[in-house]
Amino acid sequence: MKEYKEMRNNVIASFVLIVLSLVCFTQLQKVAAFEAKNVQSLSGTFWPTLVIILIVFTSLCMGIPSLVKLMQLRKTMTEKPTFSFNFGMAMAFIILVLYVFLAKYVGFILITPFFLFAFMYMLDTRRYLLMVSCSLLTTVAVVVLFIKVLYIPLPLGIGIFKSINLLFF
Amino acid sequence: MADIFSGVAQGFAAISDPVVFLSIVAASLFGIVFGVIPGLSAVMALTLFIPFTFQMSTVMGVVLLSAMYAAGVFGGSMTAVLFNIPGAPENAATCFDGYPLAQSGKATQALGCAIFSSALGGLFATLSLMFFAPMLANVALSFGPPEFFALCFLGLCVVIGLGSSVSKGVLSALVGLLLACVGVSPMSGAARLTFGFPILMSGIRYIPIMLGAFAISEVFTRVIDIKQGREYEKVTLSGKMMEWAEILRMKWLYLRSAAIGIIIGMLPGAGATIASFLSYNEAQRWSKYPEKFGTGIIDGVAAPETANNAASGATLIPLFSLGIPGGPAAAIILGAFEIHGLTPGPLLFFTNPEIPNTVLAALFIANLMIIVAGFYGAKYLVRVLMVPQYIIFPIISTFCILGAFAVGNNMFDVWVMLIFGLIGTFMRTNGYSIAGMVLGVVLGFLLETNFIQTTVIFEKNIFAGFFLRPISGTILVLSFISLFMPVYKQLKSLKKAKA
Repeated sequence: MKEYKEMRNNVIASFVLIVLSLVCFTQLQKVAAFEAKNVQSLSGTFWPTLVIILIVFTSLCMGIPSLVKLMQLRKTMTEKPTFSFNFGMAMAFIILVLYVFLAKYVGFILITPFFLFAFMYMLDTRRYLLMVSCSLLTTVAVVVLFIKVLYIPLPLGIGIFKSINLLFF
Repeated sequence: MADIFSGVAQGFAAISDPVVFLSIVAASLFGIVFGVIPGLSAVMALTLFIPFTFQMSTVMGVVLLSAMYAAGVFGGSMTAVLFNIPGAPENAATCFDGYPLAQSGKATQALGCAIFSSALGGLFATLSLMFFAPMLANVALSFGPPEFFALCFLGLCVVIGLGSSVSKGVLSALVGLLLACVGVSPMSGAARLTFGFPILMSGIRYIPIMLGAFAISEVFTRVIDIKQGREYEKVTLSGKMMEWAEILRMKWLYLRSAAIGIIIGMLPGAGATIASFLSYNEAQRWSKYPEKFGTGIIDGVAAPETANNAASGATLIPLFSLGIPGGPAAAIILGAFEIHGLTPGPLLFFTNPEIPNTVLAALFIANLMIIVAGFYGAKYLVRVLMVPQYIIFPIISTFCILGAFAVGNNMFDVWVMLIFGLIGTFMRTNGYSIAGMVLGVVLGFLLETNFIQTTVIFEKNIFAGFFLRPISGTILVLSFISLFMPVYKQLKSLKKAKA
């Protein structure tokens, strides 16, 4: 089953890379057409085209033997192959995406303790006092390092959130 | 020779002033802190610090910047060892063995080795700057576009060869090279692979890619493990940080790695990342037990850490002797010179000898600070491993997101980091080379420009341009050997298995 999954992932990766390469190649053709009219120097599409050709070639070298092996394994397999879904990883990714998305509207400083709390909760922690104190202390460290020391203009959010965030600057 | 010693003695006299000395110590610590935090780098520390040098004397400004840089490169090794998250690309090779060592309860030894090796590499670079700067600078000048292309190509081939599958390694590196093509073409100025998005005109920065592929993917992997109830063994910290017997055993490894670091570091643009991977590869090649590399062996930490610090110190060689910056950090230091109306170069040693002499003394102090701060700080830092994972990984994620944002002060970099977190997780679980992809992005621009320049210079005979020049020819042959040797070995073992 392990070998089957490896071959299946090789085929998927090869397919995705070939499709992406073709998309990139199409975009490069537009650039080449523009350069032919306006640019006198060497074409800027030469190097990426070379890289794309090598990606397609290597993907085929990896994908075709993997596909052949996959077909062979399918014939001999008794167990039905399944796709495993990592719920934990999906949750972690959603929390990170929400954090980054909401930071634009609520501001990094206000959203950070909630993000940290939610992430820890997702990791099955239920020690609330520890979770709250860690979330707040990390936010303080973020404010000191990124705002007070480095003067990085972290997103402030909008409306009332902006007014609250500005108090930290 | 006597002139050199008296000059350095004058340098030490200049920094014996308590204010200057304490400033160097503070700058070194500042550099280390920047190196430790994922997303922040020594170069960023220099960029942020440069406005403060306006009010300082030239000597003070240049000295503090040099000390900060020397110490900053070391900082990234700590997170590489403890969390498998390199602080900068030059620390990526340290993850290969540093992290397995930490996982097997030898975090103290791994950190001790990283500290000692970094300081030693830095000291070797300082000594070479002191004695051989003009001679080494001439060697650097003999490198043209074909040699630089060959060197970058060798760096990539070495990383590809380190992985378990050559085809996956090649694909990883090629994807990195394609990512480096996004943005304005260095040849024609046309926008490539931007798909109409103006933000892609400036290209995709490698720091968010590195943070995503290394750090966020590590977070995802840990989350999967925690959710599946796979608890990591509690890390026990034991043993001495460094033993003299161990240092003596690795004496040739240290010398070889320092030499690789100095030679690569003084070449403008080549950088510490290639040096650390090449040095790791050489350490494995010369080792009596090459099969242990990648499983947690102290030699695998010593080699890249010696080389990357030697390389970062050596970037100052062409700056001081020729006025050519060897890398981004040296370019910032060059900026500090120009702010004060000075131009570094061969005449600097005659017109303003106090500057190179004081910088040399400051570099000695900065490298000693790595040992002092490292050994004292590491005792407490390794305790981070005792902190429960449900606390440490959310905190790491926060710092990564803010670090990615800080690179360009825009949210695009943060989204890039998250996407590469997913890609990195796929790569990690399927045996692709994350280091290969990151190195591809880092070296992509250099490879392209040097390749195109070579084809322009040797228009009529490109083959001669690459292969008939002694240095580039030798390096390219070595590259192909390191690329095809694993393929040959795989085929040989397959034949044996069939027989």
